[in-house]
Formats: sequence, structure tokens, C-alpha cells
Amino acid sequence: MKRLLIILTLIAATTCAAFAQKTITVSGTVTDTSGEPVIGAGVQVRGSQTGTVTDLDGKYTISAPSDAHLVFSCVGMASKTIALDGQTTLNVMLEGDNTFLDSSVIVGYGTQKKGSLTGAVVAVGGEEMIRTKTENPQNMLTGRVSGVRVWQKTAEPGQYSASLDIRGMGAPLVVIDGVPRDMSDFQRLAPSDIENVSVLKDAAAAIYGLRGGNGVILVTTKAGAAGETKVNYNGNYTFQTPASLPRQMDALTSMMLVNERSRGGIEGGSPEFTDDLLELYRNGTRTGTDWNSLIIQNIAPQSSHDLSVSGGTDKMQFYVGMGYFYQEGFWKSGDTNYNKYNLRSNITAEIARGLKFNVNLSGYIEDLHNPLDDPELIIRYWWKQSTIWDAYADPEQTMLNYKDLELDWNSVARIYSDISGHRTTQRRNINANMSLTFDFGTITDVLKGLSAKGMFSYDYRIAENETYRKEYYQYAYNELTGEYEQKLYAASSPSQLTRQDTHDRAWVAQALLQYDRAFEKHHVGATLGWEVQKKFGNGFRAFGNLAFSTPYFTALTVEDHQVSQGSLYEYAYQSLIGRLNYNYDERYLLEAQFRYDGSSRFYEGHKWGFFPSVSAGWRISQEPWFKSSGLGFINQLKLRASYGILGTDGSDYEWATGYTYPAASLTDNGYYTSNAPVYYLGSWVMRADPKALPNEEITWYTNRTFDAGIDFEAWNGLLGISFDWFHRHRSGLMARNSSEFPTIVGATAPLENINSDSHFGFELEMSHAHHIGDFRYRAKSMMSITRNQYLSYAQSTKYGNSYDNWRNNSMNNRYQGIKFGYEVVGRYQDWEDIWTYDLNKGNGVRPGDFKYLDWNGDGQFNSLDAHPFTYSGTPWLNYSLSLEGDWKSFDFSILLQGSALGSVKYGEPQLSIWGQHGGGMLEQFADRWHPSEETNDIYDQTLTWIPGTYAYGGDSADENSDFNVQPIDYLRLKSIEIGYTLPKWNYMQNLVLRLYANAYNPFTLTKVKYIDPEHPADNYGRLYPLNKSYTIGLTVSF
Amino acid sequence: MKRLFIYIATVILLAAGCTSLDIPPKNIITDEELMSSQSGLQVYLARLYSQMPWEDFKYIAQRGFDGNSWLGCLGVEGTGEALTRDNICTSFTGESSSLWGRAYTLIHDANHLIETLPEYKDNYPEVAFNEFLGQGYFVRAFTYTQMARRFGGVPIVKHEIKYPFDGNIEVPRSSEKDTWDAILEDWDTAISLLPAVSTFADTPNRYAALAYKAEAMLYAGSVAKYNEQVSGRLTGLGSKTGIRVIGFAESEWKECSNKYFAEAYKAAKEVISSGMYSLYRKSWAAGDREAQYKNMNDMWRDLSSPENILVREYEYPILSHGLDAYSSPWIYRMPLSAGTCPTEDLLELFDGFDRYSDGTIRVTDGANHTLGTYLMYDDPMDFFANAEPRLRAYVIFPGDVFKKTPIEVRMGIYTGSLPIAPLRDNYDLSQRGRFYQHMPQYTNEGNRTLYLSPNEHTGPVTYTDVNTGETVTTWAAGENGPFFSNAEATTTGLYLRKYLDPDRPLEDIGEGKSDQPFILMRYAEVLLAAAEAAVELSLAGQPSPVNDDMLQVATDAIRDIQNRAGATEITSKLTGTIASRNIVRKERRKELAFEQKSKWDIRRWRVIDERNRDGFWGEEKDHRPWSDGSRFAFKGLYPFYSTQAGKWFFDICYENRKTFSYSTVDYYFAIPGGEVNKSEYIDQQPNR
Repeated sequence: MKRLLIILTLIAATTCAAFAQKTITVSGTVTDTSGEPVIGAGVQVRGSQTGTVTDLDGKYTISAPSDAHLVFSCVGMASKTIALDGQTTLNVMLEGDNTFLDSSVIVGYGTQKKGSLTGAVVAVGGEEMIRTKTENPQNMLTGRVSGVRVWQKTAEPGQYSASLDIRGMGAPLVVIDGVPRDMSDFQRLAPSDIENVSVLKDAAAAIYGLRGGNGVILVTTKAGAAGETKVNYNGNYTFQTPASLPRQMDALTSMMLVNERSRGGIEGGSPEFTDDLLELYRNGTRTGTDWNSLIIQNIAPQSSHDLSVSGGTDKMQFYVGMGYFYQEGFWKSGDTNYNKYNLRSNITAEIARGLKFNVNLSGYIEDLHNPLDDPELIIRYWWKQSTIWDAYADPEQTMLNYKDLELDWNSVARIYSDISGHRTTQRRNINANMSLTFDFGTITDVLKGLSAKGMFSYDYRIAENETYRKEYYQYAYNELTGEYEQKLYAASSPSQLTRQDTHDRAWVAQALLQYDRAFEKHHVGATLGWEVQKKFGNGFRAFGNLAFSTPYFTALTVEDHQVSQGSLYEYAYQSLIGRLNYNYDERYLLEAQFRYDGSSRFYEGHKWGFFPSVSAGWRISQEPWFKSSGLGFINQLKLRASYGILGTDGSDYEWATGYTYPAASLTDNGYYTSNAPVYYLGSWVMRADPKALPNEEITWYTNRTFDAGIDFEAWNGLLGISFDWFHRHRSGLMARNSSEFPTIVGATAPLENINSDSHFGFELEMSHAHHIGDFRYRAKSMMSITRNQYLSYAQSTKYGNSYDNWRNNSMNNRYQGIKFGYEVVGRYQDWEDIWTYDLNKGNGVRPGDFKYLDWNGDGQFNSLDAHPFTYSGTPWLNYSLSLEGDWKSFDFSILLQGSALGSVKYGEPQLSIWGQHGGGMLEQFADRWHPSEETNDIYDQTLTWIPGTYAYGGDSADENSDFNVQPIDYLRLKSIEIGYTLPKWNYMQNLVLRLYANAYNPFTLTKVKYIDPEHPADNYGRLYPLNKSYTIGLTVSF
Repeated sequence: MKRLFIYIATVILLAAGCTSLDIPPKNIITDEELMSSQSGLQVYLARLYSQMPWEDFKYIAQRGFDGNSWLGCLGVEGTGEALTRDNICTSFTGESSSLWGRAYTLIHDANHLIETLPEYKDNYPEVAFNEFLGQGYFVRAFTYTQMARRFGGVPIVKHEIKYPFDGNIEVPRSSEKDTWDAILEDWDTAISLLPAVSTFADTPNRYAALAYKAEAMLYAGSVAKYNEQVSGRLTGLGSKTGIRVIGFAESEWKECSNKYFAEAYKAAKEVISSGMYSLYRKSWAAGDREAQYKNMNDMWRDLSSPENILVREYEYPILSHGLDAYSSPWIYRMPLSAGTCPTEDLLELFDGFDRYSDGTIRVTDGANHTLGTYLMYDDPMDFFANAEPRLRAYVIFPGDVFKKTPIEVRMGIYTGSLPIAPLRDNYDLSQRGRFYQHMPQYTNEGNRTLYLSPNEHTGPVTYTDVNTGETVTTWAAGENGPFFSNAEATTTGLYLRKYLDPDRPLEDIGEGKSDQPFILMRYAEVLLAAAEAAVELSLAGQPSPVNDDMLQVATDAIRDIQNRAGATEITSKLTGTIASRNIVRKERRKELAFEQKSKWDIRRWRVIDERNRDGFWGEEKDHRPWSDGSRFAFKGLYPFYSTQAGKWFFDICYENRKTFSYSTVDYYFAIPGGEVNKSEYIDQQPNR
């Protein structure tokens, strides 16, 4: 049905572009204010893609309809639009650019001129974002907005597992088309539907009151414009490859390493594998199992297709966009895959004079399919099962083996859904906004600038999760009987089906009165609004054992089913919104805003919060004395500062007493959990758990945000600098004061507004735009440093003494972002070195082992030598450099991005060999200290040792040492794109066809070994990998 | 168009106007809903019982009450009953997840019931009210008992603390004496309230409370007495409060001990006198060892057993555990096996084995294990021909049948000549690191006479069968191990039988698939408690607290148990002597093995530290062969097949993977550091 709709629209779209016009040829020269020719200026027919570029003499020639408007533009200069009116010669003078400063930036509940902004607000256009080709618009913001930190954790299809924050402050509020929505909605937007994104980083976000404390991301989607109907198609195909994914070494090497490890004991040891056995592998009689190629495919496909049609008349404009996206995962089975369909229609109509009606309907459908197991489990056992154990019991590879395998776990079975079952998620999401705007200026000039807007939005989201466990058998070859034996894989039995449906609804109603008018040099703006929001959630979970393997509840057994309530909530918010802007001659800027917010989540008397903010700016460059002082080459010099109080809610009925029921969980057959029901009163009874002790005083916590900045731009864009200093102090953060709360009370301590912390740092952004001949380019670099200090924090424990406090109290009056541990100062080179090294060490030290710093100088190395030695996992410093340009028909875009002053840690399987009998042998462990020849006596002093990264036998240093916690410092080529726009076809002048190739994450400069520097140690390092991807695609528009 | 405008404007205004911020919280249940009806009380009590610190399949001593039955096995916490490969096999010196916080949560919930239920008294007939209230006291008494056994004196909170309105609500640790007195009071209240027959399955009746009271008071009485035998007297004052938080004052220990033993005897005797319970003898037959074995093998799963006083039921898939998944023999590996490997030392407690003069089990014809040549058996089960039926019901012998299948256990195959001298000349503890794979008979590849398997299906042996003359090729180790490189088959030569489900098919074994019940309290323990209390009172020169012939009660109790077990019965009446006490103790260690009880017995007898370790096994037995300083280890019984004889022989040697250590401070667990740090009142143990 969906696809049919797309096809129909496509046909409709292609037919409406076929009409002809009278065409004339126009030529002329483009000069600047000093009369010099402007080289490489763009000349374009308005409302079409027809265009050309001026040559070395500033001359151009173009064919255009006789009634067309021509648009002349050049970087750093103001564009000009001139009606042809049949002229065939048109000379144009372009002036220095102020349009950039005059351009509108979306701010909360309105727009402002970029030049007169007083807050730290950064906008990025959709066109700029999609220069990074990736599935998640969050990742497209990486390196594009200073202070916005995006950390992509994995590239797992459909998971969108990136975390995004602004200035390190936590998850921001996402507002799409004026409606507060979820980050998940932003992640799933079709990238080509995004018109632009504004990021409110400071008190400018205060207009979002209760939930703007971490900053706000405002997304505006595309709308149609009056003019010819435009059709845009963007299609691409991507090859993904896993980035920095550790793999198992081959069987022979791992067996030799096992033997090496079993030889290393002080009492001597006997190698686990005999020479005879090793010989069989050496001469190829036996090969072992290449789990790598059984589990992982090195190239996984991804593709996307977006089509949009937009246009309209003066009275009505429309934009319709459709998108399809497909991504496959790295499992060999291809059973991790993701399909997403987007649809958006945005229609604005002037239904009466001054009265505009807008409806913006959008939705997506996504289908995510996974094998039953999480990637963590698949990777865990892929790495852990020995390569000398068989994946298949028979040579024909028809029977999965269980013999020898730890827990009988055959990873091959676990990646194939048709063997072991699946996990699927299907989401259906509809977002609808409707708004009416009335411009009072159309009634009388007195009311010019006054407008009223009413908006209602309704979002509906359905998520269906299904987990299907399928029973299967595995086999083993019995060498004595010569027969295959089968065994039910216990953990797969009986077949089970779990379905979880969640329905979330939210609506927002807004009424806004806005005023914006200039009285000579006085510019006044005001906004007053009332907003109401309501959110509902409901869902259920159904679970049952299946009599036979079919993933429907039709197969339920007589017993063993359960249904339970899923999410259940209802919240409401009411808000009064206000803003006043005043500027004098665009020189002195002043803004004050407030929000008065009420939340249903707090108790009577604590529901409401008032969040005011003020900001001011001084555009020195607009002062008459400045302009006449010879500093006129400075287009913009602005000082600005803002201060505001914002709030955050978050607790859930912490003021209420009572119990939650059912507290019992029925997962894992009540086996891992202590929450299982109790056999009582002759039947199974679920229990109720008392809530934590109540606190009726609980309320929103406050964020006091200060930002001071300077904006500078000179020589028409040759140099732009923007600098911001920011500081945020949060107080009343919610916590349970367990460290003070006496255990003997026997209840959970109440949640209180007791914690506080502060964030501060700076951002620096520099830009440069220029052209060399007809090579035009823009460069932008940015850097930000964020630090975080905990001021007072309730903790779960108290410290016994001052050392304990220094060592373990990281919460009270402590800067964050540092890590305690040990420094490795070298390696024991040989036995002589071990005997003479002046530090008390245990026995069992071997060449290649790690020498640690005796930090406290007591002559021995122990836990007292732990000290702050490196940065924590979140880097303080993030930086990026983007470069864009074009030359003739070619264009390119490069984004470099990096982090520093952070650390990355090896997860458990990289820390040491985690497996037995040849399991857990990752390739990196081969890089180790070892004697040049195999020997049973490694204590032989005549041995020559070959150095390596790991110690003998693949051993590692202390988990908390700088061997395992490495500086994150990296610089990565995040995205590089080269495009080529085909020359015009005479018979289809409007057609623009661009071909491009893009590489995402292709290259990283770092000292971090064996893992990706951005790879967190989550799930013990067994995360689905990041991807490097290579895309080819084309854009067609007409 | 105008109409549309008005319509939309109305919707927006209505939406704005009708939204109230007074949204009641969803899904929060009130006290009244729970307390005012029996069905609500079920839900409330379900929480209490689900949080009870029961020590059953879900409890692993090393981990504590984390509610998880992962790796669940029995008797591996340094009691000598069994060993397992995992690091949960350590001495019972603390629990990684402390009971402290959990206990006070549970005590709070019991206090809340005890204080709030009377407000709803009119909703219930008196019997029902008393039974529910009695359960509150039972929960509190049991929880405090569990706390006192671990920590000695603990803060006694017997009312619901209203935080933060109660002002200074800190409560210091009570003295150990006051703690046990408070516990005694709660048990007596529970006993007075609970009915003789509980209305509801799996909830305690009066006799369950009496039985647990006996268990608790036996602990208290033993601690009061045997603390005195720990070197330097085990007692001390808290540094913050000066309260005697562990042990008893020199002036009062004797009196306390006598009082607690008397309470224990009274309680146990009341259960006995009630006639409500008896030892399980459903398929027992006098003189029929097979029937006696079968009887004791069946009793664990028979919910109608007259011996059961309190049972925790499981039911797949609602509440389940994984004993069969972790402790079955290797051929029933799903996904693990051999989590409980009984030791040879445990075997040695039981009747029916030939012994050397020092009492150890005989495997050679010499004067001790290193002398003479091995005794040969046609079938490994011949070695156990006279073994006590009770032992056979607890432990799977090599070659015995389990799930209708003989469980083949063989350490290795010996191809050397006859007669066979002991495989090693030194079996001392100091040699425990050297196992069979280190013996020259194995390592000398050119002249190998001993064949072993490092793993399953490794170590092939080819020999000519002396009986049939056929050439046989087989693996050195039995189908069920032991494999010297792989501790996932038995590491001691023995497997657990007790509590395993013999009827469970292979495909129904799995983590979280077992659902046999755990018998928390059974009549045999009451008999043993009566006997021990009687002998202890008698030793102290005390009369029977109920004016009966308590030594006769004790003697009958022990005889009853021995008779049912198929063991040799004592012939003379018990007396107030150490010898009689040890008869009772040894019987207790035998009868209650693998029931999570022995770890407490060896603790309260104070027989784990090096100086008192002779009493570790309940009887007097020189500890020096098996212990070295604070460390000690246990032995396995390893069957070998001799190809030249076509027969089997057994070797006993120290299992090479696990040792344990214990010192006197471990008789009381440390108070969790965080609790000590955050309170002005909570004392750490004075000896830590």
C-alpha cells in the first residue's frame, strides 16, 4: 500500500514538470562596488535550477525565459535578484554581504535576525548537514555546531545509538516544527526533509522553561515556496564495513598461545595441546573453525531514496516528501536489518486575507529485525568459543555442533533467525500539526506587526516489540560409535513468544500573540503565549510458551502465559510564555523572556515554576563612529551576554505514599530474579512493593545559565570569529540521601532536591570563505572545552577517613573528568632487569611484564599508588574542521572531527584472554612479549625476548592503568564527499543531476590500538561496531 | 473558511482550558487496599515471603541473598560436604551481597504489618487476624535470627520508624545477649499467635515457629558456650558505644547458654510431643537397604511428607531454580554440570566402609594408604556394597544408577602390572598441587601406564580385555569424568544425588527450569535439636526444663534417625558427655548434609579455626593431616580401571583446585563498612 502510494506520487510528480516557455539568451558582467569583475559569481534563474558562473572577466551568458528573474550571488556578497523583462544584457554590481547577518534564525516561538541575536544560538542548514552521509541526523550534526557533542556508540541498524548533548549538559529538549518531541523523532527524520536546525545553548532556551535546562534543538522541516513545482530525488547506496572490530586469531596461533600460557607457571607447566595435535593444524589436516567468517560479513549494504515535490502559488504552498531507508547489519545471516519509510506533507494556505492555515503531517514506519540475541551476546560467544571447536558436527555443515562449546552455545545458531528466533520492533509514528496565523496588519496599518497564532499538534506512536525464541537441536559426532548424536539446546526450549505493545500519545495546544515592528530606529518585538501539553502512555506485554515453533499466540500451550501492564502514564503541563525584544538602531539589543510552567508531576504547591531570562548585546560595528573610524572592513563586531534560570522536572509522584503492584517480574522464569511471585495461600501471588518514603516538597530543579560571547566578522567573510564562555550552575538536583539515611529505617530514602553541580567551558568558532578564480570554498573550524564539577552530592556511603575521602569521594566539590589508576612506566626487559629493578614485586614477574609507577614512593607497588592519572571517558575537548567548495561542476565537502583530553578503556575481552582452550584469543593478543623460540622453561636466562604490546601469553596490565585506559586523542575524517553536477541538457533546462561519492568515517589518526577511540566500554566492550561506510549516489531535481 | 477558523480556535481553547494538572498517580496502591482484606494481605505478605532470607536453592553463601540461582549448588562453602570449580567455593566468612540492608527493609515491612494490621482488626475473625499477625512476628524473628547468626548483636528495631518525623532515630547495635533475648521474645509471640495448622500452603504454623526457635536458640546457646573455647575468649565491646556487640560477658555466658539450650529443648520437645510430625518412612522397610535408600531418595520431592514442617515451593516457569542444570552428572550437562562434587571426607562420616586403623577409608591392603597394594573390585559399586543407604541417597557413587543410567566415573585407566602399589608414595596435604597428570606413570610418554583424559573425548586407550580377549578402545576417563583439565565434570569422583530430580528428562534440564521444592525445616532437624540441647544441658548439669527424661528423648531421636537412615544405631543411652555430644553432632552433619545447615553448625560449635578444627566433622578427628595453618583442603575418591586385572581400584587424594581458610574473626561477619561509616552508632566488630 505504502509503496503503491509512493509510485503514484512519483508519476504525478513527473508529469507536472513538462511545459515550455519562451526562452532568450542574456549576457552581462558582474562587478563589485569598486568596479572589479567578480569571478565565479553564480547566476541563476529564480525558481529553477538553471544557472551559470561568471568567468575570469566577470562575464556570463545564460538562457532564461523572457519574464524570468535572475539571481546573482557570490560568497561574501549580497545576492541580487533582477527581473529580466525581456532584456538581453544585464550588468550587475554586487555589494558586500550583510544578508548573512540579516538572515533569519529560528528561536523559541519565533525567528530573529542573526545579526541581532543576543543568545548563543547556532543554526545549521539541512543542506550542510546532509553533506555527512549517515542514517542518523544526530550524526550529521557532528562537527557542524560548536558545543554540540555527538557520540556515536554503535552503528547497529535501527538503534540510533548516539548520544547527543549540548556543552556536556545532558540530553536536550528536541522541538520539531514548534512541538516538543522526542530525540527518537529527530533521529528518524528523513534527512532531506530538514530545512534547518537551530541549537539554543544558553538562556535563550529559557523560553522552554521546565525542560530547556540542557539546551534546545529546534528542527524546522521543509516547506514549499511559491513558484514552479520542484521535484527532488536523492538516492544512494552504501557499503558499510565494520570499524576496528577485534577478531579471533587462527586456530594454530591460538593453540600455541594457549600452550605458551600454560607454560608460564612458576612450578612449570605442561602445554595443553600436544605437538602431534599442533602438527595436524600446521600441515592443514585440521583447520579449526573460522568463527570470524561464520559470524561477520565484511560488507553490509545500506541504501536510501528520498523524493520530494514542492511548490505552490502565492496563496498556497506545499511540500511533500517521501523517503525509504534500508540498512543491513554485519551478521553473516543478514538477519539484522532495518527498513524505514518516511512521509511528510506540509501545506500552507492563505484561506482568507491575512489568515494562513498550515498543516504539517508526517509519519514514519520502521521495521527492525534482529536475531534473538543482543549483539553483546553474539560477540561475547563469537570471541569466547575456541577456534579448535567445531561449528558444525558434520563436514557437510548441515548439523550445528554442540560438543565442547561452552554452555553448548553455538554462535552460528544464534545469528540465524530461522534457527533460534528473532526480535523485531515495528514502530508507527504519526505527527500532526495544524496552525492558524492571522496577521492583523492586513486589517489596518495601526496593527502592523501584530499577529496571532493558534496551533494544535497531536502525536501518536505505536511500538510493537516481538521476541520469539525458537527451540532447536544441535549435534555431536561420537568418535567411538561413529554416529551423530542430537541434543536439544536447553536454553532454546520451550519456544516462547513475547509481544509488547506500547502506545504513546501527546498533544500540544498553543495560542500565541506576537508583535514585531520597527518605529524608525526603535525595533520592538513581543511574544505572549499560552501552551498546554498532555502526554499519555499505555501498553501491555504478553508472554507465552509455545507448543510448537510458530511465532504466533495461536501456538500457545495450555499453561504458562502471562499478560502484564506495560508503560502507563499521564502527564500534563501548562505554560505561560512571554518575550520582549527591543533594539535601537540594531546597535543596542535587549531581550527578556520568561516562562511560567506547571507540571502535574509535582505535589500541590510545588507544581509551578517561574523561569526568567535576560540577554543583551551591543553591536559595536553598527556604531556610526565605528563605521567612520576606518574599521569599516569589520562587518560585525558584537558583544553579548545572557543569564537565565531554567528548570527541569523528572520525578514521578515522589510525594505519594503507597505501593506499586505487581512488583514481581516474570522474566527469566523467576530464576535470575528475586522478584518472582511467592507460593502463598495455596496459589502464586505477586507482591506489592512499598514506594520510597514520600517527599511532598519535591519540585523542579533549577539551572542558572550564564553565557558571554563575542562575534566578529570582517572582510566580507574572509574571517569570522565567534567566542563564547558559558557557565551553568544546577541546584536542587534530585537524589536520595542514602549516606545520611539510617539503614535501620528499612525503607528507601525519599527523593530530595539536594544535589548541585556546575558546567563551564568555552567555544571558539572560526570561519573563512573565499574564492580563488572560480574555485570557491568555505572553511569553518570549531572547538569547545567543557568541564563539569560536582558541588554537593548525596552519596550512598560515607568515607571512613580522609584518604578514603580523597580516593573514593568523587562527588562532593570535585571536578569530574579524571580517573584514578596506575601509570605504567615501562616493561621488564629481561631477567637482569627484573632482579635489579628497585621495587618490591611479587614472584612470577616475567620479561615484558609491566613496571608501574611507585607513585607514593614507599618502595612497593600496591593500591595506594592509585592516583589521578588520566581523563575520564568523556573528552573535555572536541574540535572539528569543515571545508566545502566547488570548482566548475565539481563540489566537495570534507569534515574532520576529533576529541582530546579524554580516555578510552579496553572492555573485558580486550583486557585479557577471556575464554578457555583457545577461546577468547583475539588477534591483538598475538602482539605480545614472548621468547624467540618455544620452550617449556621460560625462566631460562639465555632466551631472547621479542617485545610486543601485551605481556607474555597475552597478559595485560592492571585494568586501571594507562595501558588499558588510553588517551582518546584522535582526529578523524568523519565525512568526505565529492560531487559532480552534469552539464545542462538543452531539452530539459531545469534538470540538475548531481552524482556524488561519500566516505563516512574512512580514516582516523589515533594512538589507540585495536579499538575505535570513540568505542565506549559499555557492555564490557562487546558492542556492535561502528561502521566505515562508502556511498555513491545521485541527486536529481527539476 | 471562517467556520474552520472558529472550529480550530475552539479546539485549541478547549484543550487549553480542560487540562488539569491534578492527575492522580496511576497504579499506586494504598495501605488500606492491602490491609483491609485477605486478598490484599496476600499481596502484602507475598512481598515479605519473597524477601525472606531463606537459604535454599537460590542462596549461595559466597554471594548472599541476591535472589539469583545462577550456579546454584549445595554445600560448597567450606563445610567439607562438597567442592565446586567456581569461586563461589570459598569459606563462609562473609557474603558479597550483605544481608544488613535487606534485613532492615524486611523488618520494616514486618513492623508495618504488626503496627498497622490492628487498625483493621474488625475486618477479620480473630483466628485469621492472629495468624496474619503471627506471620509478621515469624518474619521478624526469622530475620533477626539470620542477622544475629551473622553479626552477633544488631540494632533491634521493633516499631516502624517514621522518617524524618521521629527525631533522632539512630539505633545502636544491641549486645549479643540482648539481641538473642529480643529474638526469643519474637519467636514466643509468633508461637502464641500462629495456629497449629496453617490455613495456607507454605506458610508457617506454630510448629514451624517452634522448630525455628529451637534452631535459633541452639545457635545462641552454642555461641554463648563455645565462644569461651576460642582462644582469648571471643567477645568484645563496640568502640563507639561500649556495648558488648559480640559474645557474652564472663559473668553471664554460662547462664545465657543454659537458658538458650533450655529454650531450644522446650521448643523442640513441644514439636515432638505434638505428634504432628514423623520421619518420612513411606517406602522404608526394616533391613531392606534398597528400600531405605529409595525412601530417603524420594522424600525431598514428596510434598505430603509427614516430616516437612516448612517448604518453599517452586513451579516452572513462575518461580524456578537451576539445581539440575548445574549439579547433574556430566552426561546430563545442560548447560553446566557437576556444580556439587561431594568429598571423600564426607563419605568417611558414614557407615559401611572398610577402614584403616586411623579411621580413614581403606583402599589398599596395607596398614595405611601408602602401604600395600590396591584392593581390587569387579565393579566399582562393590566398593559401596555396605555403604549406608542414606549416603547413597545423598551421593551418586561411581557406577551407581541415576535416571536409569549407570553413571560411569573413572579417573583413568591403569595398564601397569599387578599387583598395583599406591600410585604415589606421598598423599600428604603438601602434595596436593601434584595431581595424577603430574605422576610419572602418566607423564612418561614412552612408558605410560596411567591414562587420563584432560577433556571429554580425549585420552584414547587401547587394551586387550583380560576377560574376553577382545581389543577395546575407549577414553581413559569415564563418561562422566573426571577430566583433569576440565573441572566441569566431577572433580572429586562423586556427584550429588540429594535434591536432584531423578525423573527430569534431559531436555527439561536447564537454567531456571528446575522446580523441585526445598524443605526449609523438617522434623529430623527438630529431633537433632532436641538431642543436642538435651546433651548440652546435661553436660552443664542442668535439669530438663520440662521435667522429662531428656537424655532418653535425645537417645530416641538419634536412634529414630539412624534407623530410618539404615545406619548403625547407637546401643546405649546418651549421657551428659562430650562423647555423646559428638554422637549427636556427627549425626547432624550426616543427616543435614547439602541442606545449607552445616555451615552454621560448624560455626556455632566454633570448630573451623585452626585450634578447634579437630571438631570440624562433629566427631574428634585430628585436623593436622588436612589442614595447614588457617588453610584446609578436602579429598576426592578416584576410581581407576586396571586393564591387567580387569578390575577396579580406588585412590584417595586431595582435590587439587580448592583450599579454604578460616580464622577466629570470621565467626562474626564484618559489619558492612558503609554502615559503620555513615552512623555515629553502628560499631564495627571489635576484633576487626
